[in-house]
Amino acid sequence: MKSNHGSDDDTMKEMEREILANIQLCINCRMCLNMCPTYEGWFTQGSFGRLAAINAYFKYGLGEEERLSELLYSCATCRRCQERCKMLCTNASPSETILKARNLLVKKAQAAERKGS
Amino acid sequence: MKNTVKSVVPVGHRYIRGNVLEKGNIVGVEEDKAAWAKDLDLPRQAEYTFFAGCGYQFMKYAEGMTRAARTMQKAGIGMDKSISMNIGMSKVLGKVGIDLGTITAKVAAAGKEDVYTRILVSAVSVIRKLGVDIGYLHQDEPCCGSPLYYAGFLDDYVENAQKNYELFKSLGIQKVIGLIPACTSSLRNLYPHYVEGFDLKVYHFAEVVAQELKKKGIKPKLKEKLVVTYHDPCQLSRYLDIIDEPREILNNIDGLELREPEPEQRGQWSTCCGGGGLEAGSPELCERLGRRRAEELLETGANVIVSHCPACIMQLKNSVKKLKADVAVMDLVEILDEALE
Amino acid sequence: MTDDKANKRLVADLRSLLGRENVSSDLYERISYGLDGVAPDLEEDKIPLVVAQPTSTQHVSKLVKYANDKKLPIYIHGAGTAFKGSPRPKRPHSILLSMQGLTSIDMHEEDLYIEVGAGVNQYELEKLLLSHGYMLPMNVGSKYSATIGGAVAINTIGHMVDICLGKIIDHVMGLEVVLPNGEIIETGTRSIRRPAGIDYTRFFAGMEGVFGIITKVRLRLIPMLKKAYVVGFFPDLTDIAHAFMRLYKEKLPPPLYGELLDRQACTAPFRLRGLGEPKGDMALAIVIGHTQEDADQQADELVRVFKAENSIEARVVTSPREQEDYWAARDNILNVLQTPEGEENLLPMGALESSVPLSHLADLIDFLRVGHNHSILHEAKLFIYGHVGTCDLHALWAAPASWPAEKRMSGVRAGTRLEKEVNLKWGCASGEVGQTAMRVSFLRERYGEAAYSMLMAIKETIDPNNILNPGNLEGEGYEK
Repeated sequence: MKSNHGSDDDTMKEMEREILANIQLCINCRMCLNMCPTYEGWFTQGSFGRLAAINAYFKYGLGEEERLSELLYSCATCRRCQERCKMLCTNASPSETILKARNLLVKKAQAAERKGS
Repeated sequence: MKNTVKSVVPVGHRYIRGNVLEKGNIVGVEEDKAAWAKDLDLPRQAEYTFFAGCGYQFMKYAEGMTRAARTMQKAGIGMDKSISMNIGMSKVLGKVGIDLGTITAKVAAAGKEDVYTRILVSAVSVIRKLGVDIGYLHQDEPCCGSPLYYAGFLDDYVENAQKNYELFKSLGIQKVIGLIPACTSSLRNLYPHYVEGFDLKVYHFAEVVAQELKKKGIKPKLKEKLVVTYHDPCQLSRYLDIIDEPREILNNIDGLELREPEPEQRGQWSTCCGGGGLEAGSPELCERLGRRRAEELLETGANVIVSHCPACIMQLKNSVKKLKADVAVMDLVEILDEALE
Repeated sequence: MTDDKANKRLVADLRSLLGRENVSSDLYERISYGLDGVAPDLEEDKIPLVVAQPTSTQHVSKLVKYANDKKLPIYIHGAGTAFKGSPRPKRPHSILLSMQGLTSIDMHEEDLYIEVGAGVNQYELEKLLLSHGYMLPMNVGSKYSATIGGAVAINTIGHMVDICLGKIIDHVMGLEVVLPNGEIIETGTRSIRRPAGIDYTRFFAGMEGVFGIITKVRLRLIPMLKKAYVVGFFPDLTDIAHAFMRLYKEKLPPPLYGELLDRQACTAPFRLRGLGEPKGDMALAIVIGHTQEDADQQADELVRVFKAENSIEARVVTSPREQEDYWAARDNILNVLQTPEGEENLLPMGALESSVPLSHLADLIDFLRVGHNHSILHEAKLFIYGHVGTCDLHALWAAPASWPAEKRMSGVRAGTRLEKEVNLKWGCASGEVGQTAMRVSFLRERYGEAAYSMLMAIKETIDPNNILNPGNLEGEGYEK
């Protein structure tokens, strides 16, 4: 049984590992984009940009939490991208990954707040 | 670099989290959530437990609140400020015993017929007509917690899920029939991951109904012919894989003609209407998604849009109204209940 | 000026040239546009400075003039899905030019052509043409995201058989192009008859964006023909190769599609679609005719040919759903990386796309399976699939996700080397994603230094500041 309950470093590391493992399956084919209902002409408005941002932030430490948060929470979590990726490509679970990233981002913020206080 | 919960979670989601944790429902009101069921004689214990969910029970309040939030946004008051104002005022008034949430909601809902809780009544009516034995937890029905998960508060979600499971077990519950797709997918797909030993059997309303109709060879019939189109809710089609059952139900109704949107806009590819959690983070984007999906559905030429999820129904009602189209938006259960008379 | 100030200046300048809403300096935007169709790995210093998504040819022209003036590299993207390295910026401080804003469509049915902006999506174009009774004479797996401009710049075709209807640039009657100095020119003709002799279209179509930026394409309208479908399952891949060799030997008309998918590659997509276990290695063909009788007759002939080459099962497919499923299994090849629940994930570790002369089709299969000596590739799972009817095969090697990244990278390099070996061995060239970036090493060996020097001299003359896709012709970042 899997549980990411608890905010200790190990839990967060495991969540990060899962997220990055999913993104490794993404080959940037961009075929999910035309299925994404929030995509309006710029990649960051769609599933593909969100995944690239998650990778950039968690793997390479690039960018700011607030901007990442904007991308993550403008997702409708409709899973249309995930359906597309499963049927046409590698099944990188983009929708689930975006949700997991939300959870990890919040945990990190909560941990930072605890440290700060 | 700010790294605080406040800076990474949009205020709408934080607000909903507060409501779920403090009041046990997404809109944070203290109204009797089971008022809709008071004349239905539903026992607390039965073979199946009917899980009504927050959606339809509180939609009338949610409608008022989202309208208020969007109006404030359009008037230039940022989402942050408008909700903070709300919360701030609530705290002050709360101290002198006035529950602002409930009052605002009552004001918003005043003078309006509650179409949403009627759907719950129809759902129970349908299930009973099909001879399925259901119970209902009334005021003790907890929030499934899924708004917490989507808001990013995993720990809160897990704690809530474990608490709920213990409650279910203590009441001897083994089988649950969920009506709201998001609640049902939360119970069926997420709880087993986070709750040790989770062993409840979770069904969705449409699965049970489709099965019983087939088993009993029932042929529902409408008095007046209807031309409808069906909008697959994301949670129902893609999270629960329930795509054929609603269509079986609709196609089985005598007097109902079903017109579908394009193949890449229906079933597993159903275009998201934007309802649900997106409102909490991005109300304007949410509105655009609603309009686009409403346009797709209206192209079918149907006079009724049928769906099976409170978020979709509320969103599509609003979008259709904005487009000034003379098209009704109804839940599957309303039509089925009528046809089973 | 500090870097930061210079960047802000650049963004402000581009915003006033192209319109504020057509320029983005957001970090995550720049990162996602700066990726190609291979892997999500980043090179921080190569992240573009800005993403420009102009909506008119005039905008593109202004941008190019500006870039020339400031000596800034421009990397030109349709959707950026090419998978041999060409979309990625090779140099720092670049402008990422996305052509997806150029989406004009003008039908000229009376003159048998359609003019489309370079950024028009291939799938949308295909659907539009079909709705008018025409067809798009190309079909790549990435059509859901790729653009027509990219297809013409690379002269790709995907699954279709070249000698059936031709490749995409055979149907390009003319182009609108922005030159490296920003000048706009129009090429070709509006007549069915192509220009004899010098046709400037040829300087840009298939030239991978290094001589000019294609902004509009004039495509001949081709009527949709009648189709018939054939499927065959064979005990061995080489039987499929022999079947197509026989087809041509008998001077039968080339099919529109002649595809193969090895048994191992069938398993995951079949499972995903509820098709059970594959009966053998699969061959799929679609034949076309002016009448249904013609198509049906060709299909029967093809079944006969399959049967003559050992097929376990060969028949005409009449159920549209069955055809859709088989086709989807072949088309969505990356499904093979989806492992069943509990099994370790697979990651792509090397892809090959090589051509051979017809008489060596079966030899290629043997070479891929056992004939080469890249030991790392023999360690991985091999899937062979592709366009057997046009003698262009793919191999995909997949490694368990637990392999260290460096091992996987050396597998990727081995795949590229093997691809080169195959093309060199039999005097061919890859037919789908171009010859720049990862393939420059092949280009130089295959055609020699004299030709390569000529190419570089032309590039230097046309684009003296080397602002269009710099580094791609040089093969920068890849093995020499």
